[in-house]
Amino acid sequence: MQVFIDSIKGLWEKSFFTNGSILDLIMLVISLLLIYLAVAKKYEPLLLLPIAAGMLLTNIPGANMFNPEFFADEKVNFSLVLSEGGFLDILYIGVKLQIFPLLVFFGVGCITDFGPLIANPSSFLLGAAAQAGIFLTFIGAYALGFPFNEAASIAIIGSSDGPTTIWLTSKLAPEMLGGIAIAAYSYMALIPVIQPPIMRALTTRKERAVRMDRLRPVSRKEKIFFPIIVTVLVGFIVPDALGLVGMLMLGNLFKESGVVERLVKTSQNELMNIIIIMLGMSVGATAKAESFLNAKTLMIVGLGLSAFVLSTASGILFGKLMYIIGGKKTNPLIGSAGVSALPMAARVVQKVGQETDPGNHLLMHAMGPTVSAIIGSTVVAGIMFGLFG
Amino acid sequence: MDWYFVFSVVATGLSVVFLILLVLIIILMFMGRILSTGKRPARIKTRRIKELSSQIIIPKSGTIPQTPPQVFLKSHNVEGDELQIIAVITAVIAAYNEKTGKKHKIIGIQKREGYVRSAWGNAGVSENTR
Repeated sequence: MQVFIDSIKGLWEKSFFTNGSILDLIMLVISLLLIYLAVAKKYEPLLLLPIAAGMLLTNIPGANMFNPEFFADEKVNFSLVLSEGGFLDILYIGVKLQIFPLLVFFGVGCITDFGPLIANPSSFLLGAAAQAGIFLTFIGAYALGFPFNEAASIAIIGSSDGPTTIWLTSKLAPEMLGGIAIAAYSYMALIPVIQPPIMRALTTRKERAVRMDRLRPVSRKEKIFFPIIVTVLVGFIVPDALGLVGMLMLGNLFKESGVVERLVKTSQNELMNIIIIMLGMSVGATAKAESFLNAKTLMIVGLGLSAFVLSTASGILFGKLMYIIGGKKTNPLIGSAGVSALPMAARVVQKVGQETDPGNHLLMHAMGPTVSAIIGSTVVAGIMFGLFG
Repeated sequence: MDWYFVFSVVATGLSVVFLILLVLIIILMFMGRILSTGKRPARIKTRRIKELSSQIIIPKSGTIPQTPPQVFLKSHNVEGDELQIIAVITAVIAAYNEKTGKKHKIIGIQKREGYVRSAWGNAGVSENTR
């Protein structure tokens, strides 16, 4: 009988009812809310659901799923993580060592068609202009009292690029990874809500109705040379960005080469899906009550939104400049696709353009700035890491 | 607060991004000239279309035909896709008009300036971008 009582007592002492706090309960409610948003509202479910799952697991005390203190020091004691860490600690090694974001970028490269960008290289300018939103948010975050490394991590939300955001934040401000990743993916899901009012406010009906010339066909040779040129050029000028840009471009080289179809299919599907599950869960695991429930998280949410808005606005304004300088041949709406949310941003351009002229098809024109922004934002992340890493 | 450093970061960052992307634009333009094989389809000159369309005869008919109306060419000396395309377009318009009971005489076909996507192309894009 005593053994039974001791066992029950031991179980009780380990249970949530003894170790849990009101803060843990709040975190569980937030994770359930994210699960609701992913399942019922379909807000980026492929990433938000794994993140919410990781958040749910990490905020049940006593389960020893994730121990952020193992990763607090600059030099991580991996043998300690492997011998005493929980399941999510092991997964988090992939984030800490930058393996997951880079492999996701490889998969993104395998599914991205750079043809519209090669056909219309001036799209690069729109992708570059939209990066102004990142730097403006960086100024704002610094003005609000964030140190440089944290301000850079918050500002990169404006890139609308999950792997880039995770890559930079895990290097510069790992303690903020949960909040920043959740803000980034939430806003990416809200692009169809956030962008159209800005697009309508900054453009005239006449500008939105501009029909653009058909893009020229791009040869296979061009598509093969393009990733090699970008890798070498970016690697020469910003070596810190080579990890992200290199994996993105080499993934694309695999796709365009046409000789490794099996590898490309695996990268596009199975590999990417496996990595996304592990990346999402380990990022969600970092959202613990002590690092998440504070004023900083609310500021991250606010600054993240401003980063999105500013990136969209700067892209459109540069599009207007191209409209004026280029003889009214560029539809300024495609500038809003300078945030690298692929393919959502381009679809929003198509939809808003068709509100003015149902026969106007801007989708492929908007793909150019979008894929250009992927390259641009990785370069910005490399610069930020070089300066503050 | 070190605002001088902050604005230096912003200036450096934006300049480097624009520099890299500008260099890429230049490289891509050169690459496009050297490696590109695909060109936009050459537009048929309006004058040439008028000239060709004048060679097409549509038979007059008072009743609704059981078979699609035929289109004849005045001259069989003209060869090439241009004439065939115009003949097909003319036949479709003739068939449509006869079904509705209206009679029209086609005196010329003029291509619109700028790129116009075909009806099938429009339908496909609309279907995939809703």
